[in-house]
Amino acid sequence: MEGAKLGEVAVVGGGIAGIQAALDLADTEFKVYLIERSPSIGGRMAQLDKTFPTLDCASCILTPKMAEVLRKDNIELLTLAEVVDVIKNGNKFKLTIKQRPRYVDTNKCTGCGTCVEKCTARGKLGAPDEFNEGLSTRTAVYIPFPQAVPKKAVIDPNICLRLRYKRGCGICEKVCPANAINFNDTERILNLTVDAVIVATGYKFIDPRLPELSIYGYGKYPEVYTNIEFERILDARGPTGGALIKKDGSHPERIVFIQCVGSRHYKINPYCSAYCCMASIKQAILAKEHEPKVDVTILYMDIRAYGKGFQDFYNRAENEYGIRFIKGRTAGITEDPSKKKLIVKYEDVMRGTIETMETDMVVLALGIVPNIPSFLNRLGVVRNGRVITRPGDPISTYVDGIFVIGATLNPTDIPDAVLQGSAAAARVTEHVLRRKTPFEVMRS
Amino acid sequence: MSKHIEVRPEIYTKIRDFMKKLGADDFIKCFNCGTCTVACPIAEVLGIVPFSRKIIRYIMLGLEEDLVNSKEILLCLHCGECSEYCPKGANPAETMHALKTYIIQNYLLKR
Repeated sequence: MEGAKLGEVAVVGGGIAGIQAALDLADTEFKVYLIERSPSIGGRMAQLDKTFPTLDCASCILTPKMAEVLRKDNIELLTLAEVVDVIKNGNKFKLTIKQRPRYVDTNKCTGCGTCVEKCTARGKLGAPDEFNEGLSTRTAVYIPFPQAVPKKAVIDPNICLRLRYKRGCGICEKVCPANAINFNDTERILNLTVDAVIVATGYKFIDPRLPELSIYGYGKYPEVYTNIEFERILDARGPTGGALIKKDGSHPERIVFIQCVGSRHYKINPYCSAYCCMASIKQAILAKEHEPKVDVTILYMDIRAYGKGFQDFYNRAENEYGIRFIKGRTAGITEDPSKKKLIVKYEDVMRGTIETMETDMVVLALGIVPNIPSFLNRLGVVRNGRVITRPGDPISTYVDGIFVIGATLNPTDIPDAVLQGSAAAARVTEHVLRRKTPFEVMRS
Repeated sequence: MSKHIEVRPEIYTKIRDFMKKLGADDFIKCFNCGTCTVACPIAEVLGIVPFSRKIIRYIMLGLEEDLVNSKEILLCLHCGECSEYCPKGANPAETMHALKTYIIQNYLLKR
């Protein structure tokens, strides 16, 4: 089959946008290299419980697509890999990729999980689980999450006792029924030559520990959560098994959501993060569905319900679920140590009064900024922390053949990310075929 | 709460131009979130809520009479807490300082 393809494309980032682009390109008979930094594809969407505004299960949409990536012969999946550099060479791009060692032979590993059960680096010796945003710990050899693709174990060299001390332990090697553990695995540098590059590296959250955001007390008070952490608590696969409980195991009576934390702030990130209004409304509804008695309040600056079905969703949250929406912004959260309650002080802007509210949990709706890989900076398509694209063609950069999609461009919700993934696939097809003569296309 | 008001853009322009001369026209960035009110150490104690959001609203709507009759402006301590917390960098503290000058020049000295 090699050589029978229309061309070769690299998709950087295995989130929902990258997966969609890779699948569409593979169906069009392109050879696709899907390059993902973490051990599994899926990205942020894999961490979500439900999606807005329909409250569909997120993994029910994502997991079939992830599994399809593995089934396609045209897709070569490179996990634990990062693109170091991209050089334009005529019509082609030369990619240098650094692939971190997995220490597990992916051809032999069956994903049975025996090594995970026996691993000695757990509990205090373990590491915070990235999938659960550090709310639980994982072992040194681990499978990122139950639906991971590829569902293969990976060893974290920072906490594995054998890899740290070069001797001892090695229990995973002994128990593995497939003999898949390989402690001598090393870092690899791969070189690829492709016709086009699609960048879908997604976004990163604003750090809630920034000094400007210290007023919200994240890290100081245990019951202040970021919204992705709260999503993990709501998820049945999460650290609490889907029970809405505080860190001490009791059920909360009141939850307060604080919007625009680290977005629309002139010192940190002046832009609106677009997703947080709907994400908080969704989480508020899910909290109500978990615990119908819980009192949920959303402190907002403006509710930006701009998409299809968003306004209905907002109205439903207010009228059907009885979620309180208060226009106001808090200037600080304090704790009442005797009652172990958090105190949120805010101005109810509609009434013009200062109010204080005792609450059990606070959820910060964190702003997001594009996660722009360094090679885009070197290609000169980034200005002021944003990728610049052609007017009227919002996914094509000024370097012919490099397409940028999803939250790498701008904060994006899931439907838009899928849309842009498909759009990029179409643009790559057009870009590659335009350069070939009709005879070349027919022959290939 | 509800009161009949007349919006007067020409007063707004007049005050804004005056404030611009003093370098305190940051208040046009205000989007009414109310953080300044919560941050203010005197607003709740003295019962002058919602200060200073209300004052900035008065300028925006050109309500000069309300502005001049507000005792809040003269009570402001200029501690700068509101400017510290303001997400837009609208500097309410500077605005209050400049408004003091405006009221003194235009009203108290002419009396």
